[in-house]
Amino acid sequence: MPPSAPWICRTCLRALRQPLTRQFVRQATTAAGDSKLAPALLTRAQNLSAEYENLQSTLEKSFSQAAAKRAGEISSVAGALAAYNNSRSSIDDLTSLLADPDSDAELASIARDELATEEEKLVMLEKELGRSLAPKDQFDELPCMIEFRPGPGGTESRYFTDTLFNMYQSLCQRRGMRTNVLKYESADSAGDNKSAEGELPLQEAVLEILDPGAYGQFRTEAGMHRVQRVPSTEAKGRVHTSVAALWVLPLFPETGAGSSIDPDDPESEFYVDQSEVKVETMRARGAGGQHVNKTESAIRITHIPTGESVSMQDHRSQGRNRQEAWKILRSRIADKRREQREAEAAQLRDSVLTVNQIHRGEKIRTYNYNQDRCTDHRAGFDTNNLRDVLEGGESLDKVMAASREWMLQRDIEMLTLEEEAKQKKQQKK
Amino acid sequence: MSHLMIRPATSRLLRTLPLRRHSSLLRTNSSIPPNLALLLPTCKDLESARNELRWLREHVEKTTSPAKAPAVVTELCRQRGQGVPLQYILGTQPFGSLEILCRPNVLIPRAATESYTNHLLDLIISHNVIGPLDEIKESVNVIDVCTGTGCIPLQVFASLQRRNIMVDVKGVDVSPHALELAKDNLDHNVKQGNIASPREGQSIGFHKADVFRDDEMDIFSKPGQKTWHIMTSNPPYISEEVWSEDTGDVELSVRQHEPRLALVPERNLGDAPEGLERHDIFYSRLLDIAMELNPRILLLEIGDDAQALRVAEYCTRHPFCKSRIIELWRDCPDIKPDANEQTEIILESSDKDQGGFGRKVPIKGSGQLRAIYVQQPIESMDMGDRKIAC
Repeated sequence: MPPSAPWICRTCLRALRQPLTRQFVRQATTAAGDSKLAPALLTRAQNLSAEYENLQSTLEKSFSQAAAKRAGEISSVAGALAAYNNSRSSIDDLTSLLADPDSDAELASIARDELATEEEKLVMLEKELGRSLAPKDQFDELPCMIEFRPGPGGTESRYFTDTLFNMYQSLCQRRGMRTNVLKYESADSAGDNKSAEGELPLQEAVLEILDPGAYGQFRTEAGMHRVQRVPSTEAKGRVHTSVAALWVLPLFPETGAGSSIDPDDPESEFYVDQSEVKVETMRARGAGGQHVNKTESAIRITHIPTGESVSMQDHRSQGRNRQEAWKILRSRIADKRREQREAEAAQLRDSVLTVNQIHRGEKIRTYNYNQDRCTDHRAGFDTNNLRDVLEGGESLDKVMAASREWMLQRDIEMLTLEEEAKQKKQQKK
Repeated sequence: MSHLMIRPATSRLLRTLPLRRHSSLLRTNSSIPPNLALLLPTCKDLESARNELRWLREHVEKTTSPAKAPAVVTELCRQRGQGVPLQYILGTQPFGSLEILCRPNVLIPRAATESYTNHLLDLIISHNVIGPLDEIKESVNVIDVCTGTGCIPLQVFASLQRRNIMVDVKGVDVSPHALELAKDNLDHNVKQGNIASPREGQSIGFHKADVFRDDEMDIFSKPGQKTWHIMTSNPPYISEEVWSEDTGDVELSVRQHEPRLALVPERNLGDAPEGLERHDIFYSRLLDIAMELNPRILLLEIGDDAQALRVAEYCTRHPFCKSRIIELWRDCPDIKPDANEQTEIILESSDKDQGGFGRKVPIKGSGQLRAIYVQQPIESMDMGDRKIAC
């Protein structure tokens, strides 16, 4: 008797699986034809691989720190390209074997099977190669901080901002990541005015995630998060739309453990010249010292060249407030500098790029309560367990993974455009 | 010199303003939550009431069951609104890297004290003001007189200990309450992990002594006693008149709840020398003690701009300060001064040795004048068997 599970032939299974992977690959490439990898990317990979070979032979003769570092950086490209080429040549062999009318029927059947497996492998290897080529963000390995701010729309958007804050906090808790609330400021009537969901009208919050690599994990969460629901304050039961904005900033690790970034090095993106920062405290009127016992500990620091300013009053100690404010200021400035650098890189590809440009103000995600749905607009990803998302459960992992995948594909796409632009320029010359 | 002083009439006027503002605020804005409204009489503005409410709430969340919490919060708000210091209610005050326990009968550490202590530590650690730390033969010896909660010596100890520097710190007070609390603070911060248990070559202790009794202070200066590197003091410095008159110069909450002993020099301590007022008496005494102990650095907290100038001027005439650097520090000595804040002052010296010329004293930081800093010039420091050349 046949087994209880219906039998499906391997090819059918593969056919079923195909569209998924295909879709993936199409996003990552612009060129059609035999190879799904853009020729420009392939050229880049070949160049890098050649550079790697050269470096290796140089290193054999004499060691140099810089050469070793560079070789380490591009070794994954060389490895991925070798594997890719290997797979390509075995596919070529198999194809020619199949094309040979003289070949044995049994052998041909084995070859067909093998070809199918090999083609699947190639798809994976192409992806791998793309990944290895994708530019690494120099901050990826750092911890991060997330800044939460409600958009316009009064209390409802503040309440929702609080939900987002709790969402990421629970997520970190579940993943066992160390967090720290740097700042948590709710509106006027703090604590006496909770929503039906138990949310506080959050005005501004900063959550610090101390695990290395947190920046890489969370940076795709930055942007406008939109909520569609019936607010607890809405008497007529109408659905409102509000937004909250999230910033994800790289955080310089305090101990500098294993990090190559030195905040005191003027070349570092985290470097802030003390003399360019204005520190302001609450100026006490009248007598001071022992005469009074003020609890005001608020502090504001302003980076004069950029106008970036941080105020902090969460802690009872002014010294502590000052430290935390510095931390935020450093991160914001580092982020600004990175943006500047990216804008410069973008100029190069601007000639080819029009459609895909990302606007900062665009919504990245929607949380729709009535439809029990969370959508990531960039990745085109939907999930239905909204409750689990908001509780920082595994559904949120999936949403975040989808946006990271989107980001990776976008990076590869950008890289392809950049390479094509470069090669066009060279051809003109 | 005179424009540094704040005119009492103006300052009194300024201080009544926030009171009026908040009462009108209460009348017109009924949407202020009741707990905040309870805090307003003491906090004077919404912003700080909101902060205090948050701190009170966080405290209650940690110490009370959720069912009772709201009632406890309201009760604490009521107490605070009646002027009980927040630190006595919460039981603690952060001070540098420490959590200092606070109890009635002992003065609560102030923010300015924290600022100058940290600034002093920065000078010692990063600017070699007592010489390079690795060249100090035995240990860095520190004495704090009128130590109260012990906040200054504890922070000095914690900070130097963390850098593996040998250190010997002593806190001195006349009040048994203060001594008991200072010792508890050592234990508390060891338990909290803010201070490691003293290792070999590191010690900290608190001693009962009356600053004005030679026999009790002698033990710190008897022959054979090692070099003192640092002497600090936050002595009582409020005049009896200011304390007892209802001018508003002393906050009501301070007057009603904090110990007078720590704030006002007693009448029976004798007359101040020429140029000083009666409530400056501790400074002349502390300078005399400094003569005996000969510390490389002397740092004294002072009450207001007028007192700072009197004491600074007295310093220029006192033998301890001869050939030493004198500086005045403001509330935040490490913050850049505002455009309208003087960065130096010339003190007219009546000392004939100075040839009748004024002595230029730098003023550091921003805020009101808060401390006098006297330092032995680095080039003249005797570092064991060799002199450091500059």
